Amino acid sequence: MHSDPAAQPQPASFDGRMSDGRTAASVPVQVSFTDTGLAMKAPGTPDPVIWSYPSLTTAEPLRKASSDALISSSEMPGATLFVESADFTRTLSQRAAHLSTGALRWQYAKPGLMVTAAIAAIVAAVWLFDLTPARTIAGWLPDPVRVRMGQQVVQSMTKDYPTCHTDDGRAALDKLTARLSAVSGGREKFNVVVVDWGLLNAFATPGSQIVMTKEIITDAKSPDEVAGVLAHEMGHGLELHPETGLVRAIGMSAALELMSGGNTGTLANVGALLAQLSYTRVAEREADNHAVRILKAATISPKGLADFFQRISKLEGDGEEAKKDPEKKDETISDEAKKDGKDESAASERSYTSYFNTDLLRTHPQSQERAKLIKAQAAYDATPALSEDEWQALRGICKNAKKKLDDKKKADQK
Amino acid sequence: MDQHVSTATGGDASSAHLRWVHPTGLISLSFTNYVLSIVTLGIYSFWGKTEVRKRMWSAIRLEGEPLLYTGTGKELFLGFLFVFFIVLLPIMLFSFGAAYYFGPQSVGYTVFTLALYVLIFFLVGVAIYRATRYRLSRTRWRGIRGSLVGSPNRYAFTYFWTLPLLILTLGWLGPWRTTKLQNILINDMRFGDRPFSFTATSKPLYSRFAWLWIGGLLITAVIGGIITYLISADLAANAEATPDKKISIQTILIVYGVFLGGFMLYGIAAAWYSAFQFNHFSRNTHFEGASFRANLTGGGLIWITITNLLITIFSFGILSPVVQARTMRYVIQRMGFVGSPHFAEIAQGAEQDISRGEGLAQAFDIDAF
Ligand SMILES: [Zn+2]
Repeated sequence: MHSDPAAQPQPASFDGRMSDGRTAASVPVQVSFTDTGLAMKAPGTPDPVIWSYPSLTTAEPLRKASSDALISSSEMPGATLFVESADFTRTLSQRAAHLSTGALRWQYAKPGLMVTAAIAAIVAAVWLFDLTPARTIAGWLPDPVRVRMGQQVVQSMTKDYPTCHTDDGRAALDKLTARLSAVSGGREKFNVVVVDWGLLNAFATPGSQIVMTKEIITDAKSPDEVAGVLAHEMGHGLELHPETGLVRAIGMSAALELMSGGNTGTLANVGALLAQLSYTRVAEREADNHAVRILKAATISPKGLADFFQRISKLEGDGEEAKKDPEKKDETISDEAKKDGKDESAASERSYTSYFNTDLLRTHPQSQERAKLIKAQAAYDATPALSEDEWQALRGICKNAKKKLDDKKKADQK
Repeated sequence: MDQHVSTATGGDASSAHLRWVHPTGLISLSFTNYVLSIVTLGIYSFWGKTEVRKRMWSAIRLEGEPLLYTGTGKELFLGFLFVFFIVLLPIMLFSFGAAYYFGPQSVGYTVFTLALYVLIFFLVGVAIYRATRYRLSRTRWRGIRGSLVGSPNRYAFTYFWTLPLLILTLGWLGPWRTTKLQNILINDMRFGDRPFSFTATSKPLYSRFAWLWIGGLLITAVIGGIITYLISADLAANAEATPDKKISIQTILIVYGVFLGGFMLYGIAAAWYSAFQFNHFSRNTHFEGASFRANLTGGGLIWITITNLLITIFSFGILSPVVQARTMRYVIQRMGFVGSPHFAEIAQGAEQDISRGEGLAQAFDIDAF
């Protein structure tokens, strides 16, 4: 019927209902298309009201399937016109193309696309200019807050496992820590906690705290290795890597929340996100550089750290095989089973509930390379990290804890 | 469709006429919204939601003329940003700070957490009221706006102080509380310059509620009994096995089955009660001499809930507009009026300035439709 609506004013008119927007009354009108606009004529009125096409808006974008339209016009604010006719909507969408679905959707999507572009630009800027907002914010945290955070982390990680303490072992460890700490250039002294977890690990927490497992000491061939690991973790602490990780985790969860329109509830469990922290290669290199510097200033040979990384790289090779054997994952690691080192890396694959990921073992595959870099340092006069007596005392720091652990195991078996 | 309404409501020819005209193209709209939301990192979702609402609103025809939704995506987005930065982020930072300042297991942190819950429950009440107010103010029919004229705090306060009592009375305060809250909302509601009124009491709800409550108790007891019996039988039979093999796979599957069965049984009872409550509230909602009517049924609600759940699961939530439309179709087709207001006498109400969307409601996952 209306195959060529643009040619002539439509002879046909449509039944519609019009409201003036002042009361909830509506009057029947005859609606027709004219060259100047949409014409509406109520019975008993001499002249039709005309709304120009560009002034029109519809309640919904007009689609091919639309069978009715609720129309208003900026020329008569508040008033509405409702016409139930598919012919009418088809003609209207030809007369006023800006009412079509595509046009309106583009208009709606524009702000979103603009924000996306802005976010992309910010991300690009952060990446290009090497900005690290999380690091900056971490730097603003007052020292007491950082120390407090670190204590909380250490507390929650050590509460299910025995911590190691013997008087002479502690004295030896404190001596080594103080020797490194004094030359580290840090704001506060480092504090080291040794735990018996049955796996090889060490990591820094906020507020210059370091957690080290028994195996770091017992597997080491010399006190220099332990000193190297400590110096490396101090490096992380000095660079505020743990604090930065926490800030980033909070920021990420906030961003997730923002992106999902507030429907994920991620804000509620920031804690869970903390479990996924691990350091980048850049962060590891920074920590290694600090380690080398600290060791040199403390006149301890960097060979210990290099040896340690060498040993780690071997474990990693074996670890790949251990991973394929799922049975081993849940085994409790006993001293005997641990001798070949295979189970050790299997143990490291166990998902223990830690705030920080295994720092040392997850940094592969470049342990070998790191060992080489450290060895490439110019030689200097070095003294052993600890005397032989002190070293033996340190090696025994977990002997009581071990007994506690055995007791616990026995109790569990019964 | 039309016969359905009249049989459902008992309204005669002179009563105001309510009808649902099911929107077309919802599936393609669902996918368009989904794709655009992903491309814009979720920001389009506010605009997408608005477009869906426009379709839903205009599917509702009163006296043959559609409702009009005038809300915008921008309003929803700004509302969300407001709540995110002014409410959620500070709450998160404060609780994080408190955890580290007091320590996670300390008295100080427990006190803080309690205070936070108090605040959150209050905010939920505020959110419900504000979301309703926003939607009403963005709803027009024949150009006349709806509105909610009271204070969110009064509603939020009632919502909040009845909550502990609800728990203390083991749920028995429920019907009274729901009626009281509905009473505040409906009596604050306006269309143009005319008020709605709500005359329901909670008394007729209680006999059904008693059945629901006792049914729930029985179901819990039976489930508990069966599970205790099964597990203790297994433990006795496999006393020598290692801890992880003491309970057989079959038993675990049966336990899940029993849980599911009990859950569904309770769902049926709850639907039966909800339908009754909805109908009761409708019958007691009045506007300008006319009253609403509804005849939802427990079976109908269950059918719509289960089919909607399946659609949601199999479309990974993408088809949520379809789900919303199905729910609204069910409700609107079973609603109607007795009597007819004199619409020509209803004038536009005073303009309220509600520029922000329903961010708070969204933050707490409250979405009526
Ligand atoms: Zn490291």
